Amino acid sequence: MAPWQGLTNNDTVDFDVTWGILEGALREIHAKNASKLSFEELYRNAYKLVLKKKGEELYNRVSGLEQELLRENVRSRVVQMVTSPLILGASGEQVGGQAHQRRADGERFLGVLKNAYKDHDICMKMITDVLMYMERTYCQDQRHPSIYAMAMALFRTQVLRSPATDQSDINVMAILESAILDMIAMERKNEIIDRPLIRACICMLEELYETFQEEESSKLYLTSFEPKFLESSRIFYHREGQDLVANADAGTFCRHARKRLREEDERCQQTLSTLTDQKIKSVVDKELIGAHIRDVINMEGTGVKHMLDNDRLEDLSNVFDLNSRVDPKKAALKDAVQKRIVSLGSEINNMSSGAVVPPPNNASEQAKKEEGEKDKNVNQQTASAIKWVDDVLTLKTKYDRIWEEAFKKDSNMEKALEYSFQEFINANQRSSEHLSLYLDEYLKKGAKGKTDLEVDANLDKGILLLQYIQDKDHFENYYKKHLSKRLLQRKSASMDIERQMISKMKMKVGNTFTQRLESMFKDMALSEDLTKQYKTHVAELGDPDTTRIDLEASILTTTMWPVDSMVRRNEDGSTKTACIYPPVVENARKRFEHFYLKKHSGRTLSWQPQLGSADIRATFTKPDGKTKRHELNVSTYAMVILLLFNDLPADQCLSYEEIQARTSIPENELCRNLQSLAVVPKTRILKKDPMSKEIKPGDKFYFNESFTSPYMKVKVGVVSNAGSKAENSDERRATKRKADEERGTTIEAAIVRIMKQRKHLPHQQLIAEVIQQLANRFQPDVNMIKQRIESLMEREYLERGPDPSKPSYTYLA
Amino acid sequence: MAPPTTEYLKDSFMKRLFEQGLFTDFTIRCQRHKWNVHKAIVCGRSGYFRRLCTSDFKVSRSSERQRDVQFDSELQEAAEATIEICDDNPDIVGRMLIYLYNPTYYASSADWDLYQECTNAGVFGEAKRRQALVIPNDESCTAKHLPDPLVVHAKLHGMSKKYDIPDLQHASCVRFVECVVQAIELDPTFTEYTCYAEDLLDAIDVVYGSKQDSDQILREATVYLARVFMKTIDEHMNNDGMKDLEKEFRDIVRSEKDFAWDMASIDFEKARFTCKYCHQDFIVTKKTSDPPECECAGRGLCGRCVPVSERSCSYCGLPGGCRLIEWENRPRK
Repeated sequence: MAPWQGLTNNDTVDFDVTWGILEGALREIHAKNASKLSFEELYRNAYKLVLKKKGEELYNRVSGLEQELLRENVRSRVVQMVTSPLILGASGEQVGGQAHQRRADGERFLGVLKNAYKDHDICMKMITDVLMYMERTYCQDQRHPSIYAMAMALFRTQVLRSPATDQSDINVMAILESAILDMIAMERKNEIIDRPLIRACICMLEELYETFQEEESSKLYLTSFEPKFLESSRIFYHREGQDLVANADAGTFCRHARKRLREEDERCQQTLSTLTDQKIKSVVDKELIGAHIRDVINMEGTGVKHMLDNDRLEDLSNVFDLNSRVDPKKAALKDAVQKRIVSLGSEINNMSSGAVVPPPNNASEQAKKEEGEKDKNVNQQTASAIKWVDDVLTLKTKYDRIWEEAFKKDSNMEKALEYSFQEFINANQRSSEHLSLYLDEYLKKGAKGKTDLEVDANLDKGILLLQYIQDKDHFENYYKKHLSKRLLQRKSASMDIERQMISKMKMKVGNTFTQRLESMFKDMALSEDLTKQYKTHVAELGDPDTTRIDLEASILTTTMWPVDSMVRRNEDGSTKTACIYPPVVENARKRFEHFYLKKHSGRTLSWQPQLGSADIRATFTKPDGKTKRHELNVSTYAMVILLLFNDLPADQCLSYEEIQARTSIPENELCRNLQSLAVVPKTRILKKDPMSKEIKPGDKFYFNESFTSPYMKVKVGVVSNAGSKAENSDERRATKRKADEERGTTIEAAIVRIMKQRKHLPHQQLIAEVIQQLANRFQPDVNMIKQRIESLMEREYLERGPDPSKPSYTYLA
Repeated sequence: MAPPTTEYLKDSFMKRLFEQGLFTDFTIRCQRHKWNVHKAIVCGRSGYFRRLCTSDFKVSRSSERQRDVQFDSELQEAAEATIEICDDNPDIVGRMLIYLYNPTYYASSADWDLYQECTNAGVFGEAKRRQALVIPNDESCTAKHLPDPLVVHAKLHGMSKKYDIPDLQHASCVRFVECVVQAIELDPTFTEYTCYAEDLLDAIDVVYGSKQDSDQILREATVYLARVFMKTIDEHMNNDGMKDLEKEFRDIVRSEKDFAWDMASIDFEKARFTCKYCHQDFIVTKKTSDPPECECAGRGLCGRCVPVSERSCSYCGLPGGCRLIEWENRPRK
């Protein structure tokens, strides 16, 4: 509503008289004598003036009065405090010697300015109260800035923006800013400054605006002070970063940078404004951290490599924090950590393969000695395999801890760690074998000096490594081999743990991977049942078995068990395993075969005596006529050999050739079994003539009646066939060949699966899909895939596409 | 008139606080009347008292006390802050204070009927008034008694503007308009109740007088009623009382220039609005039935009601749309 012009008469108010009262009161307020004045009276007078349409005049008079007071009283007080060091400081000249003086002057100057502003602020608030009616009607209707805003703007123009001295063009604002910046620079040099004083001045700048509209962005603090502060900080940190990189080590740099960040944070909280918080930090990030972090991480001797090697978790966490400030991907730190892990990993790889390198063989040495050394080597290899896994696990534990404690479980870093472990683990060709050996070590019975908890923990860790191995099919082969040995020779510490392992692997790697392992367990269980059925069957026959042979048969499904790898090749490369059983045993065998084939017609049983074992009871007659009985646990072959002596008079002997002829046990198996029976002191059930370590053709064997043992049960191990050994190079080659064959069929199967579904696919896409499908099991070789495709085309599963420039294939049903 | 009363407070806690003057910490004086009130309540609703009580100005105490001696000696002991309100009618000040203790403007729509009955039945007699402790038994108060609600609302309106009580400013404004509407409905010719005409003359004096500042709405409503009065002047020829009133009316038109100007210039076919949001004046002709619009209309804001479509008015705070707009839109006779 527009004010109504024209004055209505009745009780006229004399403007000058009323204004006189008000002016006096306002001056009193500025003189801090407000408590003498009556609010009611002043309000009433102002109200009357506005009511009489004198609002505009009143407004102008008040602003005139304020302007005069500011110019005459406040400004002169402030300007008095401006000294020459302050002016020099503001004009950008660096006067080193006067630092102390400048600081004292600055504090005095800030103090006066702060008080002047505070007084002005308080007075204006009171005056606003008095003139409230004018503000609510006149100012609102006319859209004038409020008296308070007007007075604050006057403070800006009349005091802050006024020249500091008569002759110079530097204004009070510039001096204020340079004084504050000066003090902040001092604080950065660890001097104590008057923070509340600066905070008060900053508050003043935050409350003042460039315009009457008082938009957030037009705060004097933001328009004037902040840019200058940021610029001076930029210069400071730029210089400091260079100094630090040149003179300090990496740990110190990071600690210092963090300290600076903390300081800036505190400064924004306590001295300046929280508005600047992000901005100043980004300056520090950019100038101090971003510009140097890569240099610091790679710093010779003290960088991340040094920290990792010496477990400097605190330093590492500093580096991590700083790096993540400037780069969310933390590329620099990631690179450094990855480099270090891969180099440590290759060291571990080299150490283990270094141990494997056989000592230089002298060609003139005897073949048998070579053999013995080979065995020793194999044992060493097992140990080194376990050491390799242990080393890798130690490394992993160490880096897991670093990741957890220093890298705050960052997912980026986790990926980097995983990637680098994968890289060096797969760089070792034998990692699958090593891992399987390691697991075997812990799953085997009689893991010495290891508590259950330890075993559990170690197995879990082993499983962890499994994730990193790319050629999982290789691992499966090895594991199967070791598992079958454990199962058949009953060496597993506990079936429960075995099953747990399988289910753990299932979780980590997937269903298809453990299918065959599971079926091995199933076979074992089925066999147990079958043996029981067989026993009742025999009992029902009513034919009392005089020989009292308890036959326990394990029926293994050929495709699921690694039968091939369980058979040691003879020297001629054949895999003949059969032997001539003694009649009693042969009877039992035949009876079982009959029983089994009746149950499952159409199956073939092939006996694997090298995998079996037998409990036999032997009677030893001492020279004094006393007899002693022992229960001997021997391999099937050893059983066959020993039974030969049953029919032999006590003083007679059998020669090596005789034994071979009567049993037809393959030569290498025979040698080993005779060795274990006649050479190993603790289980010397046969005497050998001549007495030597090696078994040679022409050796004679006697039954050793004087055999003694403190135990009732004696276990006769088969030399160098017990336990899992690392493969020697021949075996490894064979395994590799086999694995490649298996891969070939797996790849073919995958190709056919894909093509069956898609019918038609371009070459590149087919290869990509095959790789993707098999990634879980192994990294297929592209050449191998190509070979398999060729082979499938030969067999007319696939057909080449018509366009040779774009190779593609079509599935032929 | 509807005399100031605490009746409507029922037996509320607020009523007891006010009437019994328990725990008061502030005294308001006006001429020879005084009210003991609570700062918490008074400052809560009035910007003026809030500023008064929080500023560093002198709180009148000693000088007032000496004057108290003859008037009320008990008060001397109380170390309460005191304010002397000059220039204002104690009757209106009393009503304002009642309003401050009251959740709503006492002149709710039912009050009009109640007022009708009360004036006849004399429910609010002198005795009742004294009992209410609001207006002391004093000659200066009863001498110039206010028989007309228009004047009371207008004065309360001015008072609320002076003492910065926005609630009261709106409420009194709405009530004023309502009274105008009601007066026209009850007696469009001013022949039955001459008191309406007297009321109108007094209202013109107050609304256009120099003692207070009134909102445009009050002026428009006054002018509207005055026009109705002018049109019916012929019908009063036989009525002596009315003749005097008519003469008085002419005098007022001659002396109050603002009023005369408004009488001549306000075109009720065209309503002028000032947008609360953008502060721009805009004119709406009554011929278009659309709700008034300004540049802010896009944001759903009109001059007085924000937004129009909503059922309660954010200007007058009344549910069911703004009565001011309703009034302005009603068919003219």
